[in-house]
Amino acid sequence: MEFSERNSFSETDINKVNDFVNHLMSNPGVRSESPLIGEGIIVNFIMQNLPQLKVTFKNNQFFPHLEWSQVLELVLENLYERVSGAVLPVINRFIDNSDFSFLDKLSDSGTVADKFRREKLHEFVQMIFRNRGCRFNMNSSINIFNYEVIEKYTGEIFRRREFLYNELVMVQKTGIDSGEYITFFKIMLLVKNVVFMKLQPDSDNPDARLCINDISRNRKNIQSFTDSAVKFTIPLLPGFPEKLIRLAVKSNFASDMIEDDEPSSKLIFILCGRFQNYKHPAKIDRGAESPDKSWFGIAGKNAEHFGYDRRILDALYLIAGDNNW
Amino acid sequence: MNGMMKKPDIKKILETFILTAIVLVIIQTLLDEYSRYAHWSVRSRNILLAAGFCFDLIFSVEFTVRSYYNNREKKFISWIKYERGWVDFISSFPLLFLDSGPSLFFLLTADAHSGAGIVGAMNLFKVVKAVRITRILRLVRILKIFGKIQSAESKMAQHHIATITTTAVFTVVSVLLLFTFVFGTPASHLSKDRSEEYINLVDSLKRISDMNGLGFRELSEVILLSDKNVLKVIYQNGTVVERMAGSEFAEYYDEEDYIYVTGKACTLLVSITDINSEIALQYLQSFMIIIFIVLAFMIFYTRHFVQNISDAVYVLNLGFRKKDYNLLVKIPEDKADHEIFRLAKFYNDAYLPAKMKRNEGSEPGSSKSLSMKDIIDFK
Repeated sequence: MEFSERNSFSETDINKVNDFVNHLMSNPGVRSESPLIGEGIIVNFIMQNLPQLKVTFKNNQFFPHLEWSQVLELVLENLYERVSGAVLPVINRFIDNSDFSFLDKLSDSGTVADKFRREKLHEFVQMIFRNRGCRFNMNSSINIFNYEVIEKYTGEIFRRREFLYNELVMVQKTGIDSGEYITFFKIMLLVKNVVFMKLQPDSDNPDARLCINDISRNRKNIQSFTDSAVKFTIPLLPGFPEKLIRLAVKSNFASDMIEDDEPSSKLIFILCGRFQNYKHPAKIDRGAESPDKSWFGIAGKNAEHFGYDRRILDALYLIAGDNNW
Repeated sequence: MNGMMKKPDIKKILETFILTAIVLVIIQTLLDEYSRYAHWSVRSRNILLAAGFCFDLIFSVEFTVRSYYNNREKKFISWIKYERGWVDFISSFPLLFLDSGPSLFFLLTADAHSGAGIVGAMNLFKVVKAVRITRILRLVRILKIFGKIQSAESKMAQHHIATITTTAVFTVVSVLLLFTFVFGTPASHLSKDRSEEYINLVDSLKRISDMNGLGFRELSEVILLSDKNVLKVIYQNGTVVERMAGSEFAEYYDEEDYIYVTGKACTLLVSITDINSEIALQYLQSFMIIIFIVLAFMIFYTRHFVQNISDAVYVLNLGFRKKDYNLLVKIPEDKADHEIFRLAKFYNDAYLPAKMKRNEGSEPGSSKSLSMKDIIDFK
């Protein structure tokens, strides 16, 4: 839904909607979740209870003089502003403070100014964040940013120089250092969410618009969808290597759909699975293994079912265990 | 109501008071024995005796109150049996009526330095004094304090550690009591030996004086007073010869510190402070053994139990019950064949993976978190 100009609503209406959203956000079931999940809960609830809400909102206690669609518009906009205010700063800080010049080495487009890349990445993030489908699926990326997961694991992968290091540097042949890989992975985390936009995977059928959830998971469909997602994204992110964008798009798929020389995609797929429903523990119970070690251990038993790469899971399990993560 | 404390606050204050009293009574018990070992002044020992009485009175009142409330809630038997109410009992009334109560009574009512009847009564109390050792059972209640220090929040851990500690302490105490009741107190044996020793001495001196035609006092006085244990010599004609001034005697000696030894020619007041000192040292040793058993269980066994049993059970319990609790149980390699860790391995390898699969796709905080009531509640 596109938001209309706010000045068509009175200050009183806007304030009342704000109070109403405050009221919803203070619900224990919403308050205990991350902003994105909280927004999802409220939006899902509204969509599931539209008929009753239409009647309820006409009561004097609510918004009797507003049309239902106007109330909905105000509520959704209010929610969006709250969530973007809570979530985007961490991404904006990353974009504003990162050195993207290493991307020159990975693409044929010559030297591109960092400022230009920053602008484009900001625009791209704004675009996908505006899209509710993309936004609701960004929880794992946001958690990974917030808890500096990439920094921790990449640092450790490069320090240990074991299986995962070999996969990333030797097999994938992306010759960049640890700090650059951190930026590389973080860009992937932002770009990967493009697949939740409705794209046009089939040039023969320009009216068909699909997102990742609409396609059946076979190699041919995934290949076709990946190509169209990459094709859609490349013009939006000039100066960003196609390889990075392709790896990012493919990080949404199970490992058996990913080539052997694309371990970054497999790694990001696992980390996003790990941090999708993540809640930072206040303390670890004495008789329990650390949270990350536990998750990687359990996921290892279900690797085939969830499409995780078993060897990468094992490597992450060891890293998490050694560091008590 | 202003100025009035809530019930839980009063309960908390009383619990703290009792716990403090438990710590203090242990210190008092040790000091009481030490005062005999070091032969403190009579006044100091009497203060400790009075303090012991106060503690016994406090614990007796506590036992009565707890009995009343548990009985009112029809939990008396289970409290006595399973919540160590029996420990509360044996460390309160028996001590009050058989030890500190009578001791204080005699101190306050009897003529301090005379009366053979009192001496007899005191001998009886010396036997009863063996019961004092049960006072140490109070230590098991300090588990609550140590439980917090050791982070043994687990009720199961607290219960089992309390049980094993109580068993160990009670076994040691029972053996000590059994030996005391079967073979008598060491004090009574040693006092008897000493009494016979000095009767023999007096009788021998009498025989020598008779054989040599010497006066008994003439012959014996220097010999008797050169013996450090002889405090007074009371001759048959009523003459009394004292080793020390009356005030000094009164300051350091009471009925427990000497025995009357009556021979053929005189009666002696013979010091038994060295015997009391030795006995006190034995008691102190027994108390320290018990205290260290308790401390060892609290520190080492608690850690052992928590690491090997209750921590694992705690994690298993949460994992089985809570949908979003997915931590693996830590399994020590050397204990992987223990039943608890075999269960944990099943939980880690089978249950949690199955739970992860089952939870697949269920987003955290579904829209069920909200209801129409939450909407209508908006004002």
